[in-house]
Amino acid sequence: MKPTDLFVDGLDFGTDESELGLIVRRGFEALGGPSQCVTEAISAEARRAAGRSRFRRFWPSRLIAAAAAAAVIAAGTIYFNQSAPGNDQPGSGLSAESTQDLAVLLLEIQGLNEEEFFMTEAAEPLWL
Amino acid sequence: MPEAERQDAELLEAFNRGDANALDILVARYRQSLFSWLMGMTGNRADAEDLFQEIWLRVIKNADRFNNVSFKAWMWKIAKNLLIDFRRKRRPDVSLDAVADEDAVPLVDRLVAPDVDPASQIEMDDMTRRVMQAVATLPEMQREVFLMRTQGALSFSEIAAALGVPLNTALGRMHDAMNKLKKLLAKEQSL
Repeated sequence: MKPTDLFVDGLDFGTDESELGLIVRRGFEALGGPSQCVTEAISAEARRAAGRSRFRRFWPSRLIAAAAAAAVIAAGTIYFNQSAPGNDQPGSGLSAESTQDLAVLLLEIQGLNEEEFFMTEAAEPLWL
Repeated sequence: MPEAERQDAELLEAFNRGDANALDILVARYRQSLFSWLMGMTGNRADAEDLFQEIWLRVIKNADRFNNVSFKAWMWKIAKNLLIDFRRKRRPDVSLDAVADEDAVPLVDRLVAPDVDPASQIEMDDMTRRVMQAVATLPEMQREVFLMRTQGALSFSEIAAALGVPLNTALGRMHDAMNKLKKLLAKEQSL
C-alpha cells in the first residue's frame, strides 16, 4: 500500500529549505556567473534569430503587396497602350493585322506597293 | 498563471515577434539560478558554461514551440536533457561520483570564476563552504531536485514536469536530500 501522508512532514522542511537554500545561493553567487563572452554569444544568436523572425513575419506581406501593385501597373499600362488614340504608331500595335497595315503604309509611302497599284488599275474597268 | 510565469511567457512571445531584447531579459533573469544549477550538477565551471550557452541556444531555436506551460519547467527540461546528452557524449569516463568525491578539491575551489574578486571568496564563510560541499555529496537525483528548488525557485510541480517524474517522486527526492544534508551537517558539527 502506498503511503499517502509521506510528505506531510516533508512539507515541513520549509524553514530548513529556506535556510540551506539561502546559504547555497550565497555560495554560488560568490562563485560568479557565466563569463561575459558566453552571454554575449547568446545575445548575438538571439539577435540573429530575432532578425530572421522579423524577416519571416514582415516580408511575405510586403512581397505580396509589391506583386499586386506590379500586376495592377502592368495591366494598366497594357490597357492604356491598346486604347490610346496614337496606338497605330510603329511598335505600339500588338496585333498581326496592325503590323500588316503598317507594312502596307510604308510601301505606299515609298511607292513600292505594286500589288495595290496593279489591283487598282485592273479593278478600275470592272467598276466602270 | 503567476505573474512571473506570465511575464516569462510574454517575453518569449515578444522574442518570437522579433524582439531580441526580450530574450536578453530572460537570460538575465535566469542567469545566476540556471548557472548555479549547472555548476552544482557538473562540478565544473567550463562544462557549466558550455551547457549554459547550449541551453539558451536551444531555447532560441525552439522558442516558437513553447506551448505556454511554465517557462522555468520548460527551460529546466531542456537543461536536464542537454546535461544527459553532455555526459553521454563528452565525458563518458567521468562519473558523477567524481563530483561527490570528498577527497577531491573542494567544490567551491573548483568552481570559482577566474574573474571573481578573491575578497568575495574570503567572505564565503566556513558554514557556506561546508553546506556547498555537503550538497556536492548528494546523489545526483536528490541534488538536481534540491538545486532546482533552492536555486531556480521552481515549484515541485515544475520540478516534476522538468524531470518527467510524478510529483511525489520530486517531493520524495527533496525530502531525502534535506534529511541527508541535515545529517551531514550535524555530523560535521559534532566533529
